[in-house]
Parts: sequence; C-alpha cells; structure tokens
Amino acid sequence: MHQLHAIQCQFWSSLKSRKAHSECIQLFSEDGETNREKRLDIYRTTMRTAHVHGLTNTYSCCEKILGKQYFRQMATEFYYEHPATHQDLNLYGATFPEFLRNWTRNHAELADYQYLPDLAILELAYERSYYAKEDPPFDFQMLAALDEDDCRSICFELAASLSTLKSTYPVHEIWMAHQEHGEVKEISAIDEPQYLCIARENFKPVIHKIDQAYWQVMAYIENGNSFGNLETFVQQENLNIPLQTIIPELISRKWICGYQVAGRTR
Amino acid sequence: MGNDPSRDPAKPSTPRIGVGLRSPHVNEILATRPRLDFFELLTDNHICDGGYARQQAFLIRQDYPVTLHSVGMSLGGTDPIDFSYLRKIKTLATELEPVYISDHLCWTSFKSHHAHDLLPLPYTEEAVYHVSQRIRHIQDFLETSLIVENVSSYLGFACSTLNEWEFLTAVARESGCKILLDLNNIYVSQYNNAVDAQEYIRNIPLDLVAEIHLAGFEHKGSYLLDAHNHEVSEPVWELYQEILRNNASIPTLIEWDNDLPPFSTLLQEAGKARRFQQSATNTVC
Repeated sequence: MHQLHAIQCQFWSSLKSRKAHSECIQLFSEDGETNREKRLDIYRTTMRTAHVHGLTNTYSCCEKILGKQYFRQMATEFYYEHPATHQDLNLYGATFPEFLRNWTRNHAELADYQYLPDLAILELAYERSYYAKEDPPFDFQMLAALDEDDCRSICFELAASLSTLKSTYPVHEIWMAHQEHGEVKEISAIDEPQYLCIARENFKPVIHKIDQAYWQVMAYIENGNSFGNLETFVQQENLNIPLQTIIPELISRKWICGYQVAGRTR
Repeated sequence: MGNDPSRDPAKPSTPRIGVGLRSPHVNEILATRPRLDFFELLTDNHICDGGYARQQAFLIRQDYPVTLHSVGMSLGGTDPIDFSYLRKIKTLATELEPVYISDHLCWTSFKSHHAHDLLPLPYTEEAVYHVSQRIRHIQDFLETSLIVENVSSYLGFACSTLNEWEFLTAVARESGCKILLDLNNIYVSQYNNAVDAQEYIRNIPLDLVAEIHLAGFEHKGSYLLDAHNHEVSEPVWELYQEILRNNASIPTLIEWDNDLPPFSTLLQEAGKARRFQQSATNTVC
C-alpha cells in the first residue's frame, strides 16, 4: 500500500493547502482539454464548499447578519485552520464560536457585532439539541423507593438535548428576528444578562428565557452536584427560587431526565 | 400496500424503483405513501444519536424497504478502518434491515481528518488488493455484503494500469462485494476524462451489479460536476436503456442531493425509469 499511501499523502496536502502543490499535479495523467491544476482544483473547491456549507447550515443567523460573501470568506479561513475530524458534517464547526470571537476582536469592521460569538453559541446549541440522543423515561418508581441517605446523594442529570447559555447581549431576540417569519428590526441592548435554556420538545429544539436563579440551579446540576447540598447552594447564592418545586418542575418539563445514586445511573 | 407481499417491510424483497430520501420530502411521503419500491437513506443523516433525523428512518421503514447509502467508510483509504463509525451503521442496519448497505469506491479521510468529498483512487493492482481487503474486513464486521458505487472522476492518475471498469470489476470479484453502477457518474467521467461510457457499461459484468443510480449533473463549462442537482440527462437515460436491454431487473434509484425540487419531480423521474424498465421487460418477454 506504499504507493497508494504516498499518493494520498501528497493529494491530501495539496487539497488542504491554500495553493495546489506542483509535485501533486505530477501525479495526474493529462487527459482532455482541462489542465491538471484545474482538475485538482475541482476537488479542492468541492471539499472547501462542503465544509463552508456545513458551517452555513449550523450558523445561518450569523450568515444572514454578516452576508453570504463575508461569512463565506470567514468560514473559508476557519476551514483552513480547522479540518473536519468527524465523518458527520453536522458536527463540524464546534469551535467556530471561539474562532468568531477572535475574528470579531481582530477585525475593525465587526466592532458593532461583538454579540456574534454568543449568537453562534446559541446556534450551535440549537443544532446539537436537534441531533441529541433521546433520554429514557424518568424512573419515578426507583426514586420513590430511595432511602433518605440515597436521596441526599442523588445527582440529577439534565436532558442530553439541553444546554444553557448566558449572554450580555439580546441573542434570543436577534435569533428570533432572523428566523422564517421573523422580523429584522432594531433591537435594544440589554442592561442585565440574558439566560437561555435550549431544550428539545417533540423533536424540535425550543429556546426558553429563564431566570438567573434557574440558570444557576441548572448549572449546579450540570456540574454533578448532589440534591442534598442544593438547599445550601441556594442559600449561599441568595437565589430567590422555590426550593420545594424547582426539581419537580424541571422533571415535568423533561429538562431533568434522570439521576445517579452513588454513581448508578437511573 | 399492506396486502402486497412484495411490500411487506418484514420481508424485504427485491425492489425495482426507488428514490433517495431527503428530509424536506419526508412529511409528504408519510402522508401520501407514493408508489415506490424502496427508499435510499443517506446513512450519515440517520446515525446521529437521536432526534427526528434518526426517527425519520424508522417512520419510512414502517412502509417501505430501505437501503443504506454511506459516504464515510473510506473504502480506498489508508487510515485504519473506523470501526466506531461502522458500529453505528451496524446498529442502524440491525434495526432497519436494509436491503443493501453501500458506499463508494474512493477515499474520504486521511490521518483522521475528513474530506467530506469522494476522492479518487489510482487504478492499480496494489489499489485493487488494498481496497478489496478493506471491503472484506468491513463486510465481515457488518455481516453483510456491500455494494460499492463508482464515483465521478475529474482526473486520472499517471500510475494507473487499469481502466475504471477493470478496476471496479476486479475489486468486486476479489472482495465479493456487488456493484452500485451510477450511470450519471460514468457519463460525467466520460465528459471529463474521455472515458468511453458505452465501452464501460459493455464491460461491466451485469451479474455483479446490484443496483443502478440515476442522477443529474451540473454543466460547468469546461467540465461536468457530479452535483446531483438536476434531472437525469438524456445521454444518461440512453445508457440506462442500454443496460436494460441486457438486464431489465436491476433495482434502480433516482438520486437528487442538492437544490431539491418538489417530491413530485422525483416521482416523475422514477416513473420514467419504471416505464423504461417495463418496456425492456416486455421486450425481453
């Protein structure tokens, strides 16, 4: 397989670089009218286009705001820096929000678009929610049978399709404005951070605005902390939250989907 | 449909005309139950962890036989075989009982990076051996034979010692896989690389061909792009009729990946393929 591996090594280097390598072109036969560099360029273009298309699918609001051409230029830079490491193109671009954060900092023309990285995080969470695994039904019977010690040591688990986001920008309103039937209008800056929960309902991701207190409790749960220490946490953080009903509410909304007791998942 | 044993999902029989399933068409298909013999599922769209993309596969399977068409096995690749990817396919296949599992005669990854494109192979004896070995390993793991599709080519390798149909046939014979003959890809390769399409289909052993793909290309001026975003062209229909003269029973799929039209357009294409099949069958009879 030596020759085949060597060919693929050269071919790949040429595909991924910004310019085709002349050594690679020598691998190809000369057939027809189109020269070899142009033939290689067909593959380079197709591969690049597939990746940019994947990013456009996930970050469609960012594309609408930046415009197709600018977004394509930025996505192309991302493509050269971050090759896909997974067969699933839907999973490509997990680090794009971070890339966007650096990009907006370093490009003066985006001075008024500092909200974009948070918007991209929201779009990524929405996409991931769509493809996330289903959670099994909540095991109420086992929960009811737990003794007091086990109850205190319960670590609840958030649904696989759920994620939360905190932003100092009105990213929910910005996202809504760029959906089908949305209306792009002037959106005011916000004085307080916005807290969002993205969860899947009937196969469709839904974005909910939540209170800071809920966001903090959900972060507490997501970090694997026990139910027994929740009251202490709420008091320490001075959270105005109905302690008696918060967990049942999150379970009924299917935002909590299961729990672990002493390391055993339910 | 429920009383037609050939459509009994519990017993996938040999289907005749199918269409590639695309997400925007699913609701209409479920509502109208069009007269088709099978759907081709793009495996990579349905091996996600969960959600509606995965659910669609099962909803369709309730009423139709399906085939699973993958793009990520990298049959011609020199990276180790990705068994985590194959495990996902095997799990899905166990649940859906597809008629076939297919992928492409190409490579798609290198050093754990993925091209998301179908990259060309040189047609050499070394490549025949290497690709055949990989296909055998994958077939063993999946516990089924694969059908392997010819890809469009935009260049040839100077080191190739075989032509494409010789390469494809040799791989099929050595590995025990079957061939998924994409006639649009043959036509595109003819235009781009001076491949003789007629000679190609004359020299493919039709007993190795398990399925035919029909699709449309995009004319880019100096070359044709295998974009699968147009109706099947007349030259491709002519190649199809040529095949049917020798074997009118090969299952045929209408493939449309990009710039999706209404589902009725795909049904029209499927209807045309069916008429050609029926005409060829009547002629043989």
